[in-house]
Amino acid sequence: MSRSTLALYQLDRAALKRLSAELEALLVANDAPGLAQLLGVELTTLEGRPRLVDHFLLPEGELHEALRRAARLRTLAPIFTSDNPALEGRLRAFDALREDATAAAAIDRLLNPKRVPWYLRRAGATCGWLDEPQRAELCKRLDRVRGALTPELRAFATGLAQVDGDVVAHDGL
Amino acid sequence: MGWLDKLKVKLGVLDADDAENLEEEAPRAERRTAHANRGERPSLDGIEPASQQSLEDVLAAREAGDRDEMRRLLRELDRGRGLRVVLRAAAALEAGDEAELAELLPKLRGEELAWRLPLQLASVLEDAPRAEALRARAAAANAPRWALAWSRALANDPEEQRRGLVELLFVDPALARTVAARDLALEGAVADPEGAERHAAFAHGRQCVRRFGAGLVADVLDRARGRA
Repeated sequence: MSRSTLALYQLDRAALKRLSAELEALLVANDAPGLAQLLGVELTTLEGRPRLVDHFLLPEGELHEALRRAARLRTLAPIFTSDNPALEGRLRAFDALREDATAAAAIDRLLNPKRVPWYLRRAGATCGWLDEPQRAELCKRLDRVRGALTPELRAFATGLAQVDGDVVAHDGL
Repeated sequence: MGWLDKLKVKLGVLDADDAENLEEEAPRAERRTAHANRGERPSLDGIEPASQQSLEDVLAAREAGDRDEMRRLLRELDRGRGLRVVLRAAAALEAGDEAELAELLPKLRGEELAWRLPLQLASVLEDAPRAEALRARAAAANAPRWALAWSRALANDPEEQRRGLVELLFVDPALARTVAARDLALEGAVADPEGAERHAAFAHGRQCVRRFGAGLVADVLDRARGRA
């Protein structure tokens, strides 16, 4: 079984807010054609439940996947994808990063799924978000210990520096 | 209450009364056995042993029609706050015992009853306008969004219920999945362990007022607010 690798995306926060508002309105209105259009699925896919919201109260399925895909296309621009499955472990446990409390806290936020909207999370996947000031601060901290970083952490630091604004990390999009 | 429960109370995951009630739900018999197995330790002078009764005993007495025993147990359990004092006051109201009621009503005006109990009541009352008034009261008392959304998700009106479920999904998705599985018995839904604890704490109080009589509990809250 292959292990997933972490990727970094530049987040369009305004687009994410618009998407959340649109999705919430469609679910409240129980608007099946509108939701099918947003998800890019056939209307028949949404049949079988009197409330559209019920689809998203069930365990992970085809519609969750479709919603994540729609969210990614509308709000996220891919910047960097690690080729090393060990990156997440390094970020969580590398001594030089853990010894810097600010860097460690930022990394923990970037790998905390509760910091992204429910529809971007995937069961078992790692994801998280940092706003621009937090991202910039983490870049600085990574720069300070660049010489001590492993190759995958150096690549991550380079990728993070290429993001212009808020960043989302995800290993399951 | 242990340190973890105290922390949860502080963080708002659990309220103090629910923590105590959940403690009661724990295997009390085991604790009694453990106590008994400690040997012949002498009792401490002047220290009353804690009550071994629980709200479950109160509700069982009520359901058996033994109102005198129910009221006796409530007096024994009363710690001056939380659901126990509310139920004791409701029982006094039901019995027409104005003297006991007058003694208890001031304790029902505390902040901890500002939103939690009204929302628990709103979730089980069949009187829709009264339930809505309780939700409005909880909202005015700064009830958290998850609690308001959850209460709406259990409303009898389908549109109100859908609105509540959607809001809950956005505010607390783990709790939304747990509510779908446990409260709404949505086919295929599975309770989320991350939402289970919050659900258990809130649902325990809701279940107690439902079994006791939600209308009567709502009446006593109205009395406490000087409305009846």
